[in-house]
This record gives sequence, structure tokens and C-alpha cells, in this order.
Amino acid sequence: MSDGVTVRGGSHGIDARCEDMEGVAHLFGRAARDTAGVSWSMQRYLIDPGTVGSALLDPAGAAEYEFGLARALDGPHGVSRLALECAAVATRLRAAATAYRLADRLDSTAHTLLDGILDLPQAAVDAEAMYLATGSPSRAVQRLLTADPGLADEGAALGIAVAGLVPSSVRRAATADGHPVVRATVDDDAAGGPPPRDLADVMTALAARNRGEPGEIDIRILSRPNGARAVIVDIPGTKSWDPLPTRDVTSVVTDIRAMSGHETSYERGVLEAMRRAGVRPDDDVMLVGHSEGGMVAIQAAIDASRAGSFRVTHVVTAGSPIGRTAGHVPSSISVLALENAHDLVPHLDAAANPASANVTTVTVDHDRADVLANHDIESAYVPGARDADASRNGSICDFLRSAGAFFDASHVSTHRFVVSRTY
Amino acid sequence: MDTPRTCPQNSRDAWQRDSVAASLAAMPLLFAGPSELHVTARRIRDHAVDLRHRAALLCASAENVHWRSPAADSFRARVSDVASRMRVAARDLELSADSLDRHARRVSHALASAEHAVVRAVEFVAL
Repeated sequence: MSDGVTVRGGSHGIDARCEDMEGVAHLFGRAARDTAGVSWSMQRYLIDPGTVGSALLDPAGAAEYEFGLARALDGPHGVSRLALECAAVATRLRAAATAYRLADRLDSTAHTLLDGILDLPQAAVDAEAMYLATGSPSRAVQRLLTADPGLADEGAALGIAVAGLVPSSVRRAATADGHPVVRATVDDDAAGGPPPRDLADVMTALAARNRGEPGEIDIRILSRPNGARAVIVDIPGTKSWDPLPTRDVTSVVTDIRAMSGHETSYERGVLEAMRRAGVRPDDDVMLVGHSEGGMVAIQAAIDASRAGSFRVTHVVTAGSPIGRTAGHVPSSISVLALENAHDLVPHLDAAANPASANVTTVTVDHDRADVLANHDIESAYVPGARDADASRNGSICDFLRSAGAFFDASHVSTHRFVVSRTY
Repeated sequence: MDTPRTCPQNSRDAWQRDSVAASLAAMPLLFAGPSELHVTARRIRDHAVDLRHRAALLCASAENVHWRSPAADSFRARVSDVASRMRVAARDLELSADSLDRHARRVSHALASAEHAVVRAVEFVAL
């Protein structure tokens, strides 16, 4: 960890397309075979009786030729040696591609599961200390979970396995999502506060929106000094924990659907609100979401890109379990996932975020010793965003640089909508 | 009417010249003639050109492969090294082709000198 943050993926992370690597390995393999064939076939020129015999008439010239050809074919930098070099490059490249595939497979399971197990002893000691100090079992459990949020991976993995046993018809009924209803709540020209200058400002605005009613979102249209426009969409997270069908579009049903990469009424409502706010297909759009809002933002970015309806260029998530969906975001969209190391929620999908070039996961360290506070925007993610702003990490700097269009506005107008659901 | 007569001296000279020519023509059975040597030199040059093209292809494919990491950087450096050595090997092949061409010209010159010397020797003996 440096600058108070740990970074995974992004422009300065490892990015490898195994199919590409295997394709180039194939080219090198063929080069090795062809070059070896050429070297072998040219060896006969060295021992050709006619050429050797011609040395009778010009011994010096024949010797010069034979020596030069022998060096070109079999010298330390000769063709034969190059064939071996090409074969070695091909072998190493294939091995690297295989290693990356294997590492990816291991990473998505072992990374999260092992983290939970490795941190358990220290977390248990912390929990016991909390119990001895306060005598409160609930605070001791909270301490255990906040000290080792990786435990949530184990629980989530178990939950996902159990959910797989439920008949699909029951699952479908339980996750029925209805249809979005979008209502504007403020005049389109309402003032939207000062334009954002950095990631902390973006997160502060999301925190302000999060204080609104369930399903309330902001679409902030930024006017830039060069006359261009950029748009930031603020999408808060879960406000209803009702597992049954409800009008509140932020309920658990949306969590379950969005976590597994399904379209939701919340997402369709956000895209409808963007249309009604006058977001144009050529406006640069940044979707910003907390918790469930981050999952919705990821899915909205994928679907908007697929449909070509909006030009989403950036997604910022805070405390969102996007490990199973972020890998489907097109490479043209840059994702920055803020995760508090002591927040349980990013672990609820039991999957690590992909370490790809367009997905930068920034883990910050803000332990409030409380499950809710560690997930809260204001107490955990606004300070986390400040950490990211101050970081010199290459992946973070590249992300912020590429998002410059959202940080230089001279004026902002906010369009506020409430997305709800009907069945 | 005079009938053409063959001079015994002329027919013997012709026979001797033919014998010398036949002997010199048989020499490529002992070693490659200049034209064969030039053909070999051309083939070596073709291989050098192929090697240069392959170096360029491998370099381009290594640059375009979607792979970014410290290992990828060292892979590209290694490919660049292999490609530059391919170009060196191609240059060495061309140099050996050049020396074979030079050798072929010397062989050609030596053969012509030998033929001339033999003819002169035969003429001298005939006198």
C-alpha cells in the first residue's frame, strides 16, 4: 500500500489478452520451424562437391565464401541459433498465456476466499478485545466483520451455492423486477452547486443525493469552458431491505439482479431519466454509484454502450460488489472502483474485481469499527476519494487525467428524478 | 573444275580444338561452373530477403500483441533483439552471397585463362 491506497488493475496494471499471446506464439513457432528448415537446407551449400571443387581454381575466394556462409548459418548469431531463439520465445509466450489463464481462474476464487481466512485470527483477537471492553456481543461481531470483511466472501459463496439449489421458477418469481416509473422532482434549470474539481467533489455530491428519498437520482449537466458538455449521473444505493416486491426501486431485488449482471428497473429508469434530462448521444457521461448504485451504473454503462444510446466514458463506484459484472464493461469505458478495506459490501458477490486495463480498483483504509459506517459514503468513501485524488499511482492518475472533461466545468445544472417501480 | 580440298593440317587443328573444348566442358563434372555458383548466390540472397521480412513481421506482431506488464516489456525487448540478430544474419548471408559471386567470377576467369593456355599449347605443339 502506498499513498494510503492499494491499487489493482487499471492502465498501469497487468493487461494481457491470452488469445493474442497464443497467436504470436504460433507465429514464432512457425518462424522457428521455417528458419531451422532454411538453415538445414543451406548446409548442403557448404559441402556441395561442385563448390568445394571450384576451390582448385580460386582457393582464397572459395575459403572466404565457405567461412562467411558457415558463420551466417552456424555462428553464435547464425540462422540455426535464431531458430532456437524463436522456438524459445514461442515456448515462453505460450507458458505466459497459460499462467495468466490459470492465475485469472485462481484469482477470482482464491484471492477473496483466502483473504478472509488469512485475516481471521487477528480479527478474532480484535473481536474478543471488543467484547471484553464493552461486554456487547453485537459490537464484538461487528468488530469481527469490519476487521475481516473477507469473511463475507465465504458467506456469499455459500449463499450463492444455496441459491443455485432453489428452482429457477421460484428464483424468477422472487426477483420479479416490474417496470420503471420516472418522475422529475426539480425544475430542469435548478442550480446544482459548484462544479466538481476532483473525485472527492464527485463523491460529496453523491453523498448529498444519497440523503434524498429512495430512488432519487441526479443528472448533472456540466458546461465546460470550451463550450462542450459533460454529464455526471449520481446513483445512490439500497434504501429498502424489503425482500418482497415493492415500489422502491432500490430494494434487495435490484441488488440480486444487478449483482448477477441482469437488467433492472432501476437501471432502465436511470437511462430514461437521462433521455428526459436531454443528455445527448455525444455528451461524455460519467456514471457514479454507491453500493447498489455502483452495480446499476456498471450495468447501465454496458447496456448504453451496447445500444449506442449514450456515450458513457467513465464509471465510478463506491463500495459496490461488481466483481462478476465489471469484466463485461467495454474497454472504451474506464471504471474506477473505490473499496474500503473494512467494508463488507464489496465482498458480497464473492468475486474479486477483474484486474483489467479499464477497471482500476482502489482499496482505501478507513476503519470506523462499525459495519454501516465503513460502508457509508461520507464517513468512508469521501475520505477514500480524497486518498485517491492525492495518490501518485499511475493507474489512478491516468483515470483522473482521462476524466478531465468532468473536472473543468464552469457551470452545472442539475436535473433531479425519482425512479420507482410498478408491477 | 576444281573440287574443294580439305587441308590435312586444318582438320587436325580443328580436331585438337574440339578435344580441348570437350576437356574444358567436362571440367564442371569436377567442380561447379560459374553459372551454377551464381545461381547458388542468388538463392542465398533470397533466403536473406525472407529472413529480413520475417524479422519485420515478428517485430510488428510483438508490438501489436495486447499485453502490458513488466514481463511484456522484456518480451518485446527480447523480440527486438532476435529481430536485429535476424537482420545481422541476413546481412551475413548477403555478404557470403557476394563472396560466392566474386568467387564465381574468378572461376570463370580462371577457366577462360586455362582454355586459352591449352589452345596456345596445342597450337605450339602442332607447329
